[in-house]
Amino acid sequence: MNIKKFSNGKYLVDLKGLVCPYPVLFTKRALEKLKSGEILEIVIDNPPSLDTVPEAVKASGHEIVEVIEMEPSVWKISVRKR
Amino acid sequence: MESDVFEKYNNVGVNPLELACGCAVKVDLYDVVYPAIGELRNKFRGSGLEFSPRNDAEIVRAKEIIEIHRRIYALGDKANVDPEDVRRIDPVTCVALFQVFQQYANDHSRFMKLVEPVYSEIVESGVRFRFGKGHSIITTSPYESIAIFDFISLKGRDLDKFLVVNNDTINIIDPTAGIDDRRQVIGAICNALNDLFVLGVCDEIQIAPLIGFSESDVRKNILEHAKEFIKENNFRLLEVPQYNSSRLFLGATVLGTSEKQPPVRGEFVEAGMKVIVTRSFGELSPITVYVSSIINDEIRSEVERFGISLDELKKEKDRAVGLISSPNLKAAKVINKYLPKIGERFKEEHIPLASDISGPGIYIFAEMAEKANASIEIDEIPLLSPEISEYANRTFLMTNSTAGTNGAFCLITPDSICDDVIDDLKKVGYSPHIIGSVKGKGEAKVKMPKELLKYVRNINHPILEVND
Repeated sequence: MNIKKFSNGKYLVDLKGLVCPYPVLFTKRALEKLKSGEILEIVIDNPPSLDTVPEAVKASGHEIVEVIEMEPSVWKISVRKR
Repeated sequence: MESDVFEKYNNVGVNPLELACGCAVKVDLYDVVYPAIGELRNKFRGSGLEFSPRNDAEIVRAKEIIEIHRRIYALGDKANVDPEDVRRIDPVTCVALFQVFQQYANDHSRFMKLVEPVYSEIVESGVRFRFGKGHSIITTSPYESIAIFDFISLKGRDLDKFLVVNNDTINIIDPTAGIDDRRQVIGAICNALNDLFVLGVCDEIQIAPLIGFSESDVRKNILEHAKEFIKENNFRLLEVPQYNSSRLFLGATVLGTSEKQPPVRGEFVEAGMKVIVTRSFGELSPITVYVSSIINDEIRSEVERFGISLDELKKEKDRAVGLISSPNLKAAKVINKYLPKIGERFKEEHIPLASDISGPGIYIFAEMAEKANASIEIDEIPLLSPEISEYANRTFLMTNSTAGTNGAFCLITPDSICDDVIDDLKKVGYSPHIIGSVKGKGEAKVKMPKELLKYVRNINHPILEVND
């Protein structure tokens, strides 16, 4: 898993191709590396993860900024670390 | 650490994190597959291609000679069915595996764009036959959307027995075991056999392995394990072509015969009957949590804080894999004993309805209530590793931690034979539980105990209620 910094305080982790439960696991691991207030954008293409990743993130107290479908069945979930 | 564990996969160019554990690999049934089948049924009504009702396995009257013909077709606008070939085969029924690129797998209209052309070309053959059972899995490769059709043709005179056919595949069972691990291969075949065994079908078992993988040494090892298992159990191997997939799948098309009537008769379920499970279930939780704890140190620490050591977790994982790789043949023989012969009526000494719990987990009780149009109350949920299942659900690793692979059977059994069925299952090594009963007929409804909320997130079934 590679976290890419693409602007000040914004990071991207590309989890396309991974199936459950790995998107949840790697999202948690990526968020551990960020500072409070920084943004993590998670790209996924595994439909069940569209439910589990936001739920897991919210349960850990982080904020979902937005969820957008970038192309058919590819989603970007933006999260602000608490 | 994960790179060591997954070395065997990485060496053959496979990322195990792209492979779902157990039955999680399937295309969503309720939102995608069933609506698509409904459309196909309407479109091809009167064409000669008939779609079987929704069953776990295809059931037809057997004849003297049973033949299987495997064909591999591209999907979508590249569909390449030869109608003349289908005419030559002259099938009575078929089972099919669809491997679908995941961008087409979460929307039924997109799914239809891929699968409909294959059916249209088959219909061009003009052969009247039944589409028995389909099984759809997801691939992350846009170039490997395919259908594998196993056409079944029957010749000779009619026999006084049923032929039951099923197909099933998985990606992997235990990502920490080798890609061609013997238990993984056997588990995948047992998972396909389970839908035969739950119907009490245990005679003349024939197995056509269904293995997708391009690396030849690994594929050879997988086939060798499959052949050994088939020989050890006195089953018959059916030699069929395999598919060179870059993404691993393991499974089989399986056939068997029975002189008894299958327990698919919801209309004979009555109030007062008991709900029996042949053993505890939820095999996938310990595997998922163990793999997660290897990948993520934080998960490992959290699991330990939850009171489960890594050693205990590994033991539970190994126990689950052991169960998954053990065929439920002995349970099939017990079920068979309590079924009526062809031509006889279902009476109070018979089991009218049985289902494989595997993939759906607790949702199977809702399916059975619907088949029986009955109200069922479940009093307990016997899980293999309840604490681990609770952890898996609480931490979003699994949304339904009661799910499994090659799982337990659920039997709806008249009260008068309940003790005998339980004794017979115990004698052959099972740990059956009576977990509930049928409360009435006329309305499909299931009441579940509140503890279910520890294991299943977002319970979403119109007839399933949780007790206060």
